[in-house]
Amino acid sequence: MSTSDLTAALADFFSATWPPDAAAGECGPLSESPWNSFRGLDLHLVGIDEAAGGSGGTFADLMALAELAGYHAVDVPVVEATTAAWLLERAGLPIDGAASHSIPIGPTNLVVGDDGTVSGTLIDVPWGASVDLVVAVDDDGQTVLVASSDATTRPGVDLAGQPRDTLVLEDVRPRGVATGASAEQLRHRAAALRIAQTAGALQATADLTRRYAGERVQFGRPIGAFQAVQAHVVLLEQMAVMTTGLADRLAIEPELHPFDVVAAQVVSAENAVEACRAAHQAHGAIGMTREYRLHTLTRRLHTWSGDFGETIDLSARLGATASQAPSFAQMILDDTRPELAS
Amino acid sequence: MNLAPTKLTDEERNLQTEVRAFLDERLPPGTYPLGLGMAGDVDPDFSRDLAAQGWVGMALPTEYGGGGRTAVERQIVVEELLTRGAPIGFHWTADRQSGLNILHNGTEEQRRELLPGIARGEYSFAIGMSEPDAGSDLASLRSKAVREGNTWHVNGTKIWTSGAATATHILGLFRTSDDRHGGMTQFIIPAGTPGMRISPIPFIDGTQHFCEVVFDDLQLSDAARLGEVGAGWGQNTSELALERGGVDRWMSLMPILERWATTETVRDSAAAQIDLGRILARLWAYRGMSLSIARLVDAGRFPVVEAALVKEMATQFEQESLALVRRHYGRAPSLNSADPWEALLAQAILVAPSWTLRGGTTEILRSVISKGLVQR
Ligand SMILES: Cc1cc2nc3c(=O)[nH]c(=O)nc-3n(C[C@H](O)[C@H](O)[C@H](O)COP(=O)(O)OP(=O)(O)OC[C@H]3O[C@@H](n4cnc5c(N)ncnc54)[C@H](O)[C@@H]3O)c2cc1C
Repeated sequence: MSTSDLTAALADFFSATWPPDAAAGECGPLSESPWNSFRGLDLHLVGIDEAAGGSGGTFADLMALAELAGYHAVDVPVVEATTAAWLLERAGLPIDGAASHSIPIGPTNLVVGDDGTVSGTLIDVPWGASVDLVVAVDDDGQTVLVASSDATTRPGVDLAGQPRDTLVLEDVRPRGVATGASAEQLRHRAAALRIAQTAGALQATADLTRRYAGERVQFGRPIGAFQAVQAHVVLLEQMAVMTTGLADRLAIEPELHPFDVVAAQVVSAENAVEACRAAHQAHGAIGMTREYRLHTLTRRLHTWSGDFGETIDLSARLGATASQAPSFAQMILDDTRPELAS
Repeated sequence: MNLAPTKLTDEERNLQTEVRAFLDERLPPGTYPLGLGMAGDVDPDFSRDLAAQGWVGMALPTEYGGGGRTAVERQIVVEELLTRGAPIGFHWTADRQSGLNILHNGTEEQRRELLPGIARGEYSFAIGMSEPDAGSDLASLRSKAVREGNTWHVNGTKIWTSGAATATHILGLFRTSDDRHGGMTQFIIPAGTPGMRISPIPFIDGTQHFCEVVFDDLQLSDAARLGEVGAGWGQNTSELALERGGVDRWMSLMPILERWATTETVRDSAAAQIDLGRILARLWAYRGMSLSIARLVDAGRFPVVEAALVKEMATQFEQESLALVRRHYGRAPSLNSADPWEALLAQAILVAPSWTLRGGTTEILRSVISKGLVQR
């Protein structure tokens, strides 16, 4: 199945489960979400080999899934669950397809003691308190699998009103520990998926705004007839096309280059913020209300634009790299990627 | 709207390596005046040398002396030239658009006469569209070509014609009837044709590329007409699409960034590195988009809206980037500086507003994109 076949096949499911014109209410635990339907289609294991217990598909398929999830503002941990599964696969740990998984987005300090128990804190784990299992990379670079029921959880929410909980582990017996992907690799993979999700949400924001500008009448004309409003619509399309292009570029690579991911993260995060501003400006007051769809998208965009690295730190790394590189232009024009400064 | 991701093939990478090697040899730093992208210096010798490598008129068919190569291959060459601020002013317009316009719309005779000269880097074209009262609203142009038998009499004034003073040909758009869009026709006018007066209009940075061209009963045979009578508007619009799509629209600042990136100012400043990284990330993203557009052209498509979409935002970002570089520079650079880089920075500060005007203003491009969105 090609990536576009995959998304076409799933479009109906997504539209039915997360209707494109509905405004999201506040998000509860996973049990109150459509997680079971999502899992029922084995979408939580896309991009993992069937031999490893996954549902198959390429990384490009997974990126397309993330984009679709972003477009529909899906309120289940798509990026988190599929990244957790990938971490388990990389570490050779068994994947329980019936279980729900998440990963921490914020900083972790996790230590496996001599007695084999783990202690530490996992900050900002999406749906952390309501998933079955959480996968993280510890201070020694090992992949650690823990049950959330073994942790003390502190509830939190992100800007979109989705759970982002903190898990405190004290001498907890892990469900698995093995060497796998590095923390850096984990961040890059998750960041790439977040860019795809952001691209989807930007497309939805652009579509929604274009539609609204065609319908809302002021001074006897649809506001979209005014050049100043058209400029917002155009900007939204630009942000959506550009970010989608970034996601697509990452998706066709056999493996992710840190330089590409970080550059794409910087642009995607900035695009998201610009787009939110323009979308709200074009919508006027209606966009500021919870009863209308727009906030469902823009609140997610704001949340995601800081995930897996803040723009300022990422830009600093790119800039430090460029200041040491033999040619600035060649960093843009070549496929051989420089090592990123840390 | 979707721009499919693409990468360079091994063959295309080889071309890039070849071009870099040639330019290292032909244009060692310090031996030529640094230019800002397509506004690079006019140097007919360089244009001919480049052409001898097969890198001018690349997109023209081999039967007319061209390279028979792709838009992507042309982009690869262009990227290297712009990075170095190379003196491309002489052949630029002919290479980018006039040659293809003549190929598509010219007579067989015009093709045989003009295309080989373009591909050899010997012909330089200037585009005579704008007039004092016809800028964004090009259809309101008034310069006239009136037919008498086999002769056309041309009268009127063109303005802001880049490179007209050094061009060997001017490709002009003239009114041939009152029909607003259907009454315009293109003509190819060799330099030196009696009845044409070209006067440079000093540009804001003191250069003289910008010109006014006055036609006073200039006479042309019908063989100088490009395309059908009345077909000028359509030809001109397609040409603008070629003019907008490429990396030349956002690589003006490259020679400045290329050097700035490794200056001490940047090496020692965390704040400058953050700005540099941001610029790098965004240019990397635009590059991907331009490459996708070139692939669309090679697939026989005419990505007019996509080209406008990229040009509109990338030219504004160029200006923003320049403002950042300037802020970190810490003082106003001097046009007369002995340091060519500082002089180039000064020049860039003065000319940067033109980046969002030439080839269609930001406002006009937004209309193009906006209409394109409605049609999709
Ligand atoms: C460096 C440079 C090189 C050039 N080279 C050439 C050349 O080689 N040959 C040539 O023929 N021309 C050339 N031009 C001219 C160029 O094509 C025109 O400047 C451009 O088309 C804009 O026209 P204008 O300058 O008359 O501005 P105007 O059309 O007068 O516009 C002034 C302002 O009004 C805005 N505006 C106008 N109409 C609208 C509208 N309908 N909606 C919203 N806003 C609008 C514009 O966006 C702009 O902000 C060059 C210009 C520059 C700066």
